[in-house]
Amino acid sequence: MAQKDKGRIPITYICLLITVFFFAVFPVWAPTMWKHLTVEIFIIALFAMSLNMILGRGGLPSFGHACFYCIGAYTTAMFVMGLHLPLGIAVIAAPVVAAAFAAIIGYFSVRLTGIHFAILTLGFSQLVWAIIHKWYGFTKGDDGITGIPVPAALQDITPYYYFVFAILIICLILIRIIQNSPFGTTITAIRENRERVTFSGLKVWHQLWMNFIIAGFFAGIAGSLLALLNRSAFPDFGYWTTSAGVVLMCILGGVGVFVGPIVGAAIITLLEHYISMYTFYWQMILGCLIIILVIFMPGGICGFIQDRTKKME
Amino acid sequence: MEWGDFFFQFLSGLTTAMIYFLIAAGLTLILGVLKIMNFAQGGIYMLGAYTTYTFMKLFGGTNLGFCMTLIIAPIAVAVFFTILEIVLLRRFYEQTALYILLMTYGILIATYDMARMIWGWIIKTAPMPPMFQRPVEILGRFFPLYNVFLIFMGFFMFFLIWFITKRTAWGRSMRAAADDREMTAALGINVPLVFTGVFGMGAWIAAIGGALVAPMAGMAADMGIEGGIIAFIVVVIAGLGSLPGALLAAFICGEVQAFGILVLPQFAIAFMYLVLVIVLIVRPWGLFGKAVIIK
Repeated sequence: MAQKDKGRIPITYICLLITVFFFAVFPVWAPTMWKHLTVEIFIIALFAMSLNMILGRGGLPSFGHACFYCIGAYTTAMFVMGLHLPLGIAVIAAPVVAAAFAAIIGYFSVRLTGIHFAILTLGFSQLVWAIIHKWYGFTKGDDGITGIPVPAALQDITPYYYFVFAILIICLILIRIIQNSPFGTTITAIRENRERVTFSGLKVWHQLWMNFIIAGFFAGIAGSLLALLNRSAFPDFGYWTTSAGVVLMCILGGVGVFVGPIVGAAIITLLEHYISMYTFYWQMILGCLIIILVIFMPGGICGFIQDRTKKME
Repeated sequence: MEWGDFFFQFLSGLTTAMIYFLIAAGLTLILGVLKIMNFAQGGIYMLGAYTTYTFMKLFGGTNLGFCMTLIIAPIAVAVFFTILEIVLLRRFYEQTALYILLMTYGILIATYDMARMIWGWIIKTAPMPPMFQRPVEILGRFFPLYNVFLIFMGFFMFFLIWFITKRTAWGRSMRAAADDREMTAALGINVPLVFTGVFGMGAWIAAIGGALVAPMAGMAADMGIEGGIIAFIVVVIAGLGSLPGALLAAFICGEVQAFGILVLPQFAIAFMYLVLVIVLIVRPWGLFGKAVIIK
């Protein structure tokens, strides 16, 4: 096994380097629309990665993750538009505020499992959505916050592309480090056998709570980047269909594989973009896609590929 | 505020509550027995309303036509979803909750677009049957007769479901399967058949909710997604799988909305979520549910 691993690591690294290199030179020749779409995919991929910390690693089906995404977007928007603070502070504040909300919501949610966990996270996220949607005096309600001023350096799509790309890579490295740390392996252990971890003397819910907060933190970063891309924030970023959509991306890509959520996010975003050019009934196709996926590929696309390559060896 | 006004507001809250109860009752039944979260419940409710619209047009909006529609339309929708259950959902009951959640979500958004394809994007309203086209006088205020009928139907359905689950042989095997699937199967009861039956019945109740709402309010495909979330709120407040809880929770939600409009009009919906979160913090397992906290 060790021999095999030694042989395989360079291939993975070469693939990784090629991918990074490809996306680094991508803006040089790509048209603006593609760049815009790729930035969107980067942001959604980061969002999906943050969810996978709870869903794939922790084994808890969260149906309210869009809440932190939305809070991240609104924090940035409101710090700039409402409090007239510099953009740098607004961007840094977004993940912190999102993590604070994750701390409150996680405190109540992580003690439950399975369907109860799904319902509790969904309930909290809907409350946040309802407040943002209705409180016109504070969040401007369903009009959303539009016209966020972006500094000249990031106004063009190409510099913004590199900005998001750099943040995405830093976040992915951080998530990787966290997942491979003793803390990350504890989370996986809890997923596999909660009782045994309890017997080993760890406070299970405490570990899961930390994990929930970290996931909220990264979702806040993604939300903040999205607000800057669109120069606006809308309550629908946090509606429960967004949460369900990102769960779908994770499952489609494969929750058991590190890059799974990124693949899922890219596929769904591209499909949505191109199919909705031809038909109004994109949701119909998405719905059928989900059903086919769950029946034939429960491990997701990456899980499917991994299984196949293992069988070939 | 006078007593008459107060009572009027109470009655309109009760009307809303009965619609909420009918969407949620089917879901609570499915949750209690099958232990799955059915996001598609809102879609069933929406299809119930749309098929009622179609049948009412077919029968020409007479009293008899309305009665026939009320029987045929929910059964048609229930049969459709029972087939979906047999083909799609059945095989996933033993696996992790996530697949069922995703699957029912997929069904919900597919039915959402299906409704837009069949019935178009414009808001539709079914004709009000002639026998309900007059108000009744209650404490000097005029109240639509149809709303009184709706409140009656809500209580009628509550007793019907209660009777079926508690007083019939089928209800007994249903409750047994909810408690212990393996043991029930060992006693020679066909558990998958019971599950399909419960799913069909849950779909039927939600479709009746949709059918009853059709002559009263305009319908659009969005009501499926909204209905799904309302059913979800009611069921969570109630505690998963509790029928009296669902009635009480629907009542709370309906009244909170009816009186919330008088106090802070823009927050009427948010009040419902507020009730939800208070319940979730104090009793995460709902008002009537069993404790599931893990340390």
